[in-house]
Amino acid sequence: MASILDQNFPDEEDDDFNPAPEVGSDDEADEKPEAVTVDDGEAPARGERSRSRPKGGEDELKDEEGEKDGVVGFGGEDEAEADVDGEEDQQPGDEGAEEEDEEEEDEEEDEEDDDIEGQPSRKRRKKHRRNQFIDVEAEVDEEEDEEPEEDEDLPGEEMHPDDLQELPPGADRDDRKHRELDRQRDAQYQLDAEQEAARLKERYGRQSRATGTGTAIVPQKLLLPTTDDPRIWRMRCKPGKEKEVIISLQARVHERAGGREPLQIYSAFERSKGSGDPMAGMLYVEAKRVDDVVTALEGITNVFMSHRPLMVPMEEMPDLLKVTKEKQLEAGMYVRIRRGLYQGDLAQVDEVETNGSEVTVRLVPRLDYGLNEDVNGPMEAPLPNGQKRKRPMTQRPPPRLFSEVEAKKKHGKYLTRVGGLSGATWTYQSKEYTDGFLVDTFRSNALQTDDVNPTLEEVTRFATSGGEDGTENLDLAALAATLKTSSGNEFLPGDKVEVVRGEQKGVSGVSVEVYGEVVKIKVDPGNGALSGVVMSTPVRDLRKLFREGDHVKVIGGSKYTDEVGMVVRTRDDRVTLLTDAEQKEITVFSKDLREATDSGGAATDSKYDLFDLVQMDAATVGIVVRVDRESLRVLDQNGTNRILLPSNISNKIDKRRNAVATDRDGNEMKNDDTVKEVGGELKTGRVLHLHRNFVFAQNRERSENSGVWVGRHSNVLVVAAKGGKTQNSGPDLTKMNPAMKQNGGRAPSPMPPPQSKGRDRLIGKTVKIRTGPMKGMIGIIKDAAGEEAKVELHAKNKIVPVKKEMLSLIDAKDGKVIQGGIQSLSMGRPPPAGVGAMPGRTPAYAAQGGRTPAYAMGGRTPAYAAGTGGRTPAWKQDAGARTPAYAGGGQTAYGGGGLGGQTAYGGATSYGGATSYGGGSVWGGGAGGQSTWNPNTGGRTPAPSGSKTPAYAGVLEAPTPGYASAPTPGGYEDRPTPGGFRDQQAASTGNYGRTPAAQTPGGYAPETPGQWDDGGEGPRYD
Amino acid sequence: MMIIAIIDIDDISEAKIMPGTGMAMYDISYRAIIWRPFRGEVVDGLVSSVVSNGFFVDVGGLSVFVSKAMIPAELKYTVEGSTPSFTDNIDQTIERSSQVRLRIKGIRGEMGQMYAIGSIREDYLGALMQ
Repeated sequence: MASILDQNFPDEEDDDFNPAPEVGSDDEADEKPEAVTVDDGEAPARGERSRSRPKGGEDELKDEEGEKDGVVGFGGEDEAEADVDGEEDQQPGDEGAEEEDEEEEDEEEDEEDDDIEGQPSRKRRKKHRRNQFIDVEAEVDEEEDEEPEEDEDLPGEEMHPDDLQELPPGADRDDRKHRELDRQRDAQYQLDAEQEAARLKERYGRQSRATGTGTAIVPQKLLLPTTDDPRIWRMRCKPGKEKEVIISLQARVHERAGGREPLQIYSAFERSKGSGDPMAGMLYVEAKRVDDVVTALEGITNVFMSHRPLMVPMEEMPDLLKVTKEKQLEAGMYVRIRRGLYQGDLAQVDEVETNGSEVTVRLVPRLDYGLNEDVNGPMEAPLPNGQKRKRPMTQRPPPRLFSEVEAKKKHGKYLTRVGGLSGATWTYQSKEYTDGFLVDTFRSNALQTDDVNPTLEEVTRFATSGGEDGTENLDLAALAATLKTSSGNEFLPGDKVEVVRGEQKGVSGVSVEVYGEVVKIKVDPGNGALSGVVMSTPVRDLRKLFREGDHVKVIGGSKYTDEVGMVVRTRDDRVTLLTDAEQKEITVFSKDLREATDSGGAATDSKYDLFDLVQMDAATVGIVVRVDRESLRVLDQNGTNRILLPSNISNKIDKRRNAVATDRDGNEMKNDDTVKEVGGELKTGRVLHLHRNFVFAQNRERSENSGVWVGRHSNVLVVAAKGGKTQNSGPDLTKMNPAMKQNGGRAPSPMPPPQSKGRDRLIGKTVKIRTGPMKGMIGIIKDAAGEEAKVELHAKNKIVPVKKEMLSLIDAKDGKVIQGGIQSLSMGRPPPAGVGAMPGRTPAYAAQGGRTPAYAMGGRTPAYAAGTGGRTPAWKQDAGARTPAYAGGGQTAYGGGGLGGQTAYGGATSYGGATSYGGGSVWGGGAGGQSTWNPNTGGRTPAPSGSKTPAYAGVLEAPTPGYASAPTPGGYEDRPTPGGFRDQQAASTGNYGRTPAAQTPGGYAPETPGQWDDGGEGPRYD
Repeated sequence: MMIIAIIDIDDISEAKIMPGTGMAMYDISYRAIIWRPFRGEVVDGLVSSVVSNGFFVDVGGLSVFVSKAMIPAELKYTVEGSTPSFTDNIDQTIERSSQVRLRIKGIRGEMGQMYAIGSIREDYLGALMQ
């Protein structure tokens, strides 16, 4: 019976349409009696919302419903009554049976309540007092307004304890009321939300039971309209004015709502998406009778009343309300302009107006600033979109960023600066230009939002103002919105994929087949029951799957195209990879990646490779620091970084493997040596190329230009040569060649220092740090190379690198500093400048070194002299080689005067010497020795003897009287004493002076080295 | 795969003269000691350099890059004085020449060079206490 009654009221129809839980809608129905006016007020707002934005599935349905409610509200009063009636009707039937049982129980409970609950309830009341003062009044009102009414009408019908409590005499009625409320609240607090919901439903959900739709979720099928429902009528109106018509209709509904003849329509809507839409010019009104539709629309402008309302067939009604998701424009997305000067141009959405019909976009303007204007022609607004007749005929200007300078040239009058903080906003010919972009408003239907496919080139134009992290913005945020529509062709069979949506979410597999928008994937093992199954999945649910460490290549979609790298992180569909070429992290979408072959590398067809030296013009060379698909990034000799096309490069300069240059200190510098910049940033690097005056070096730890930097030869120092050897590896052999010496006639440069070979002799020595932050610390040298030594500190277990010059050698036992110890031990250092000082002459030195005076006289530095005995002959040999020069030229440097000659002689002396110094001494000292010498085959004798052991020498010496004299202690003894020494020298000088030229050391000495070389047995320089 | 030493040469084939160049090509079969790191392998190495987005570790002849993404979040990049390091300011510090245990995540081989990326974002990985 109730259903018949209810059927007549539209509100119940609404329930039928409503897929949402019953409770809410029924509440609405219940509240309606006293809330009619409120509801009326709300409805228009909701209705408007639904009209202006027809989207969002259920939302819309709900809104529609709201709208209907609103509209329905005009006739809602009877309906409200009917609701109440319905409730009354059904209640007795439903609950009559239970009534008695519960009554008994409740009585018992009630007693208990009084006894037990009395106290606690008061407590609770106190507890909730504050709340109650705010809420309770309202609630009491509510209760009193609603419930008691019912209660009074239907005494005893409600099984609520309230009712039972009503039975006792109403002496303290007020108090009782409060207590009652307390108890209710108690109960409410105790019930959890679910129970609460159930209770509410129990309480207010009776009608729905009566209508047979008691369950919260109603199958969609049952919600379909039936013949009893109002019908939808279609009306024609002027295309594009649909919205306006609906809005004026709504106004009319409200206007007449309170009047005598409210409009008898339930809803009105339109589905037009724009002027080109097939639904344009259509208007739909929901009403019971066609007359109501006509009455409602009568007199509203733009409605074509001449067309009769057309009834929409019942089966088509749901389709009419079906919501298709519409692509939502968002700021930052890319769109294309459909019409006008900018037809086909890419634009970036700047702002979308709330109604969605107008969109503000940023464009790269196409302006010619009046340059092509016909000066003599009639005045016309030249650009943009200005003259339709003439302008489109001429070529449209190329897109370029707005330049106020150019605009000022001819069109200064059209140009105004718009005050702003940035100052980069201009108005030119009543259009606004910000940061060079044209900011213009277009109707949304003049924009193409699908298949935008912005090219990299276009997008990069917009990237200029990307903020602090332009690349990220460009590549991810903006492009994402535009490019996120994935299509089937981005998947290839064999790709690893992952399902990201739908029931199979999380399942990974390998794509087997791709057709259209569907990809067949073979599910990977480890996916439970699905493992190994081949299933079809729509493309939009798929994403390419990459794991950390995968070697991938960027195949498109961003400026990183063709980069190859290894995945270091994946987050959603963003994959971060470390590029092989530059060890730089980039983030791209997984759809733009593809697994790369292992041999990878940026597979480019470029003629030029990374780090090739290229010639750009006759005077400019550069080094390739990046190879892109089409372009090269080149660092030229001046340190500027340019992007060039391969065609801009005239040729490649082959690497000269044995190129040699000198550094700032005149040291040799070769490819692969480690060099350090002097001054500036003190960059270090490995030499890649040496070209003319420039050195191109690379340091992998630097990120800019792939770590490559360029400097001048004179601005770098060799830190370590390729093999780890320091500067000047090995002596210049030409210097040992007397022939060359003589021919060149040049004065030889000071002797090169001996080279360190093998183990640095400093290793293992105890040292003290003299300066720097660690001054005073003592440690042991663990390793030494070049200028630096690694010192293991005694104080803390740490090995620190220290410059050798900052160390001083100390005695491990008593900790005393050994002066000059480091210098004497560390080889490879140039001799101190003051050679002429000859500290070696001091007796102390001579004694210390244990060298023969002759040797000491050689003008060696102590350091030198301190060299191992094994070398001594070598030196002497060298010295010998020079002797003639010294003797002849009288070079001062060497001997510090006339003594030099003797020195040389002394050198020769040591020939005999090696160990048997005695022989040598005699040689040098004994004036008479010379005579004996002479007969001896032109000075060759010393050679063999020198190379041999003393014993041997002794044998040779034996026959000659001069030699024989050598062993005499007297001769020997003279030597160590400086005095004696000097005397001797003086004497020998005299001797020399007297001796014939042929006999001078010069005479035979030159040959000596030759001998040595021939012999091949003598110690050498290496 | 990295050849550490060639043990012996089994066979050197007949030479083939390459057309156009005049160079001779031989097929040589030899036995060698190789080192082949595997993906997933845990190795120890020495940090060779620390940069802002990670650090490089020398594992024998293999240069492994450990990206920031593969470093636990507690380890922050800090530049103290002139030594960049990843440190949690408690007990773990990864700087140049510190010893690190890592898991190889990916390997890439080129002619004459091998590169890998590694991760220390796992239990028992990271700087080794000395």
